[in-house]
Amino acid sequence: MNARTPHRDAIRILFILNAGGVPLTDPDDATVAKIFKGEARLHAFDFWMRNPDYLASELLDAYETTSDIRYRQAAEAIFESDEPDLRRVPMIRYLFGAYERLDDALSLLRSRDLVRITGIKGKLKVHETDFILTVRGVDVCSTAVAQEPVLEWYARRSTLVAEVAGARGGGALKEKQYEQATYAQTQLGGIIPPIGPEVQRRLLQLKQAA
Amino acid sequence: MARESMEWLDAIASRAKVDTNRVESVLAARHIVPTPVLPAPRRMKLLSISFGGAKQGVEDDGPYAFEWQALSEGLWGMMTDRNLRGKSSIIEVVRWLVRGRPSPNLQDDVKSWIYNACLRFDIDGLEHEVRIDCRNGANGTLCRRSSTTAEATVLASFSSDKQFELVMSDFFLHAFSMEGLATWRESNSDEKTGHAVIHGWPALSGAMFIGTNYEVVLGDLPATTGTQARLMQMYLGVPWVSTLASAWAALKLVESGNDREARRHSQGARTRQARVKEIEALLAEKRAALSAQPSDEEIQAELSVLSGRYSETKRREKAMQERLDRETLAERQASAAYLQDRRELQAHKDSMAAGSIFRSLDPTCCPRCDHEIDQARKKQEALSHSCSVCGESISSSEDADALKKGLEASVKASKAAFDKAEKNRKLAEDSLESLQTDLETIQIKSEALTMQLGSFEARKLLSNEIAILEGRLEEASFDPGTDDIADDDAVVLKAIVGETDARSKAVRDNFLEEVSTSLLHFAQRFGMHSLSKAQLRGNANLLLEKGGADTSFSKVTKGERLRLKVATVLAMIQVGERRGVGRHPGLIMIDSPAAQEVAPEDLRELLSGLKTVCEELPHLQIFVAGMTSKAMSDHIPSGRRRESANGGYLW
Repeated sequence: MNARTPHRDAIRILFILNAGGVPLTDPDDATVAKIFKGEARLHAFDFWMRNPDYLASELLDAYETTSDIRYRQAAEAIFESDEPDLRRVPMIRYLFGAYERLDDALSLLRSRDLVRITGIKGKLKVHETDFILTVRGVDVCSTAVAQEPVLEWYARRSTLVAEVAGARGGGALKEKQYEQATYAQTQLGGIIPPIGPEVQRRLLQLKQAA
Repeated sequence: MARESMEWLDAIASRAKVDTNRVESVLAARHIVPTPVLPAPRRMKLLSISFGGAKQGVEDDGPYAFEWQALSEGLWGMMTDRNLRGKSSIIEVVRWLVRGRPSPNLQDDVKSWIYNACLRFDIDGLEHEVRIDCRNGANGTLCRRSSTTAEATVLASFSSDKQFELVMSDFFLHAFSMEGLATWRESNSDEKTGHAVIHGWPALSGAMFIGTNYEVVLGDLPATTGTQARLMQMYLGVPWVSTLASAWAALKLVESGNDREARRHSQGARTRQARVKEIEALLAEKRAALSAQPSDEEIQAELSVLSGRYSETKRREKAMQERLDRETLAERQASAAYLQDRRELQAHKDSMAAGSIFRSLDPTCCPRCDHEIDQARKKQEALSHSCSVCGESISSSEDADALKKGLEASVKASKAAFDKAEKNRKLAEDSLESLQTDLETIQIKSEALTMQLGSFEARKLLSNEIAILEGRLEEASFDPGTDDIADDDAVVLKAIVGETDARSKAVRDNFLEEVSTSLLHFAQRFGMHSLSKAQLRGNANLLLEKGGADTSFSKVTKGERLRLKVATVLAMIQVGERRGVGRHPGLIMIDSPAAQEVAPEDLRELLSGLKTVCEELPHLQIFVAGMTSKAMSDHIPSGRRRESANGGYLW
């Protein structure tokens, strides 16, 4: 049974754009609210959304760097709720990182005018694709959680991912994700394997060391 | 063998209940010779006594020479008017030369004054001469002359005291056809047994000397040596005496040997018993040690059982491991299925929620071209439930709900399956663990047993030791028993002694009666008028009746004892002569007691009696040493006596 539906992907992307976008004001268009820069960055965010074990790994890195216990607790919570298994949506490695065409999801978002796709275009190809979140899109994010509480996870998780990603651009994030050995060793075109057990071990060590 | 000896042999054989061959072999082995008839007696008389040397440390010191020539049968006397004037010394010198050994009665200083001595004597008409130089040990010769004119034949020469004694002893025992008198001397210690003592010539020669030792009736050896009886029988010439003596000594020797054997045997038994006990204790110890060691068979059996259990358990463990692998795989699959179902349910829920959100958001533009969707399309959609964008039918949420329910059922089912698989896996794990514990236990037990099996060497060692000890015990318990042949010897010897004793006693008891009568007669003649009865016993005890009262030799005065001694000797010689069995050589030297110890009257009567005896038995030659007295002068002619007066010396 294929549980993948464009709606689910679309809502996930919507939450990512909302969490990772920065406010945007256009004096000529009052309907725009935020802008999320870079498709690669979107892919990077989506990777962490879809692979909670890799996110947990990143959280532990953050914990080690900042000693902020919240990161570690966040990682711990991921495992406690079986997220690496339940929430995992496999991705395929392609050239510089996880990649999946998001056309279907974006179409859904675009058709409701929740997102507008724009970018800086060169003479031959697009240099950067940016995503503009409309005021309506931002509204949907908040009403959706109220209407369907099951979607709250997406709101929280996208916020966490955005926090972990910080101001890093898509290239930097992908590079970071690429560092993770298992990910790097994955053959091009192969499914990126779970790393849950290793991260859990690391978490345990860090907890004991604390 | 003479008829009498044959009878004797047969009597012994019947006594001992053996055949005569056996008796003869014992006789031969023990050197026992039958003496039913005695050889004819030999007569001996002194021809001359001479000795010389130098006296020292006395008033008449200086060189001297004593000569007493032309002696013959009859009574001779030596007398001085004081004691210690040399009369006893003359007797002692004779005794020395006859025995070949000086008696302890010869004082050392007197002996040292004698440089040389010579004694000439006659044995059955043959003249003999013994001549010694005794300044540096005894050096000299023993010669024989067939006639006074003939050349002297040297029978033997000697150059030491010992040789001198051997020469004289040999010569006289041979000349008188006397066998050594063997008697038994009991040992007073437990360790040593008694031993036979041959009283040779020095003892036998005592019959010719009546000294001043009044302890014994006969001879001069102390009563304890037991020669008295034998010596008496020798005087009397009773047949069988020497046979009895040798048989008796041989019997004693055998019995003592048996005794010693028995003693050794009982001592051996004691030692053996101690040894047996010792070995038994050791054996018990070793056996206990061995039984404490578990037997190999038991260990092997137990090991074999364990080994069986081990392989059985190992087999079950392997099966259980396989089952665990299967259960684990099943669990993993169930887990994966469960996870998959949960993930799908989650995805479905998410999708439904997302779908619900998007359904509430009507499309405003085409996602492909960004053109706005017109109102007509929106109306159409509301009417026909066909998409305003693509025209496809819009699915109801009922399908989604049904799907959700199906997914939830799947999750429930897969969870149940997973739980069951997990339970099974855990069960398999527990079983495996318990089997592995069993295996470990068996392993440990086997190792411990194998270690004990290592004590096989110790068991073998103990078994060997026990076998050796058992062997020793058997050996130690063995009783060699007693030697039957020795018993047989003793039986035969007892028969010999019994028969011989019976024969000699028969003759002797007959003689003793006569001797006793004769003895009483002589004693009375020597002045013991109050003596009414005298009885000489076979053991040479002399019982008396004096003045109507019983007494014995040892209880009367020294003067009386002197007379009784002389009377006994004379009585035995007389009876012997009368019965033709007398074996006394005929020479008697009597040393009388000191003046103060014997009454002059007693001496007179003794001398008177002796004179009479000499007339009755003309072959006798009797020397009497005594104090100068009228009795001496009266009874001994002046030519037959040596005397000194006024305190002078005989030499």
